[in-house]
Amino acid sequence: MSNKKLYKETFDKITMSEEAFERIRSLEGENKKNRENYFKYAGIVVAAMAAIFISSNTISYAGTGEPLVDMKEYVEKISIFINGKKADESDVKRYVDENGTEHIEMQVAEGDQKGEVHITTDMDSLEKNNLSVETNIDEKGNTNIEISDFPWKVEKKEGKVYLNVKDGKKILDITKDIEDGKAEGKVQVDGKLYKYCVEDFGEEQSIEVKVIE
Amino acid sequence: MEQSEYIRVVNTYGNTVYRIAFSYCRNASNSEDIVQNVYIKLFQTKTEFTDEEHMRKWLIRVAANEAKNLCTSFWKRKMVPLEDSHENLLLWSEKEECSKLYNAVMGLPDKYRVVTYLYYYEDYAVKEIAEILKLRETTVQTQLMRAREKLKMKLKEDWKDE
Repeated sequence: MSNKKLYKETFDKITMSEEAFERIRSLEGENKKNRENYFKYAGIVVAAMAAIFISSNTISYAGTGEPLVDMKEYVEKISIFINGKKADESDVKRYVDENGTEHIEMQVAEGDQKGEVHITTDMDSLEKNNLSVETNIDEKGNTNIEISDFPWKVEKKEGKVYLNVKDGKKILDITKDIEDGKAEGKVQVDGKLYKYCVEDFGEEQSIEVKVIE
Repeated sequence: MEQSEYIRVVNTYGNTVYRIAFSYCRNASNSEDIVQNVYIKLFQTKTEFTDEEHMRKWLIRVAANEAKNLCTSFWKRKMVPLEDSHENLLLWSEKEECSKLYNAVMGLPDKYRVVTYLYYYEDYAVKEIAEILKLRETTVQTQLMRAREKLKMKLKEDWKDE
C-alpha cells in the first residue's frame, strides 16, 4: 500500500462527531449557547494579547477581540477606557479579513484625546510605543479594554541608554545592545516574562513588548 | 451566504477543517471549537470566493491559524488534556498499520503534522501548501522531508521510501 493510501485510510477515520456537525449547522441561527461559549473563550484570548500602534495625534491600538457572532450585541459589550476614564466610541466597524483575523475598528474620544482604536485577534500583535492596553472580562461578560500611558521608556543619560521597565520597576542598561540600532532581550517583572525590542531612530525610539509567559 | 449554501459548505468541508484542527491540537473538543470558529468567520468574512477551491483553501488557512492560536499557545499547552486524542485509536485496532501510522504522525512536531496532512491526505503540492500556510516552499519541503525521515524511523517497512 502506498504511503498516501495508508495515510488516507488512517485519517479517514478522524471525523467530527455528528453532534458537533449539528451545532455548526445551526450556527447560522440564533444559538445563544454557542455565543456564550465563544465569549468565554474569547476572553482568554483577549487577556493574553494586546498591541498598540501610535503615531502623532492619532491613537490607534491593536489588541485582541473575541469571535464575532452578533455584531451589535458584542459591540455593546465592549468598553474602552483611557487612563481610567470611559471613552466615547463611535463608527464601530467589525470584520474578518482574508486570513480569518478579526478586526474591530472604532473612533474614541476621552476628554481632549481623540483617536482610532484597532483591535485584532492577530497572534503576532505586540504592545508598542507610548500606550499600553489591558483587557478584561467582568462578571457580566462585558469586555473592558483599558488603555493607559505605556510604562516602558527609553532614557539616555551621560552617553548611556537605559530601558525603564514599567515606571522604574527595573532599569536595564541597553547601551551596548542598541549600538547597532536595535536591542532585544527578556525581562521578568510583576511575575511575567516579557520580550522586548527597542529600536533607536535617533531622537525617537520604538519599544515593542510581548508577554511570553 | 444562503443557509442552504452554508449547510453544503459545512457538510462538504467540515471534516477537512476538523482534521486540520486535529493535526495541531490532537484532541476532539478543541478541534470542534476550532471548526465552530472557522465557520463563524466564514459568516463574517467579506472575501469573495472566486471558486470552490478558493473557499476550500481559505477554510484550511483559517483553520490552521485558529488552531495555532488555540492549541500551540503556551497557555493552552498547559491547560488542555490530551487524553481524548487517543479515543479514536481504539476504533482502529483492527488495522495495525493505521494505528501505527496514527501514532507516528501524532508524535511528529506540530508544524510537521499539518504539512504531512495537506500533502498526503489533501493531495496538495508543496507550492500550494506553502501558499496556504504562508510559508516558503523550501520550508515546506524541509518539513516534509524531516517528517518522512521520522515516519520512516518509526514505521520502518510500513512506510515506503519516496
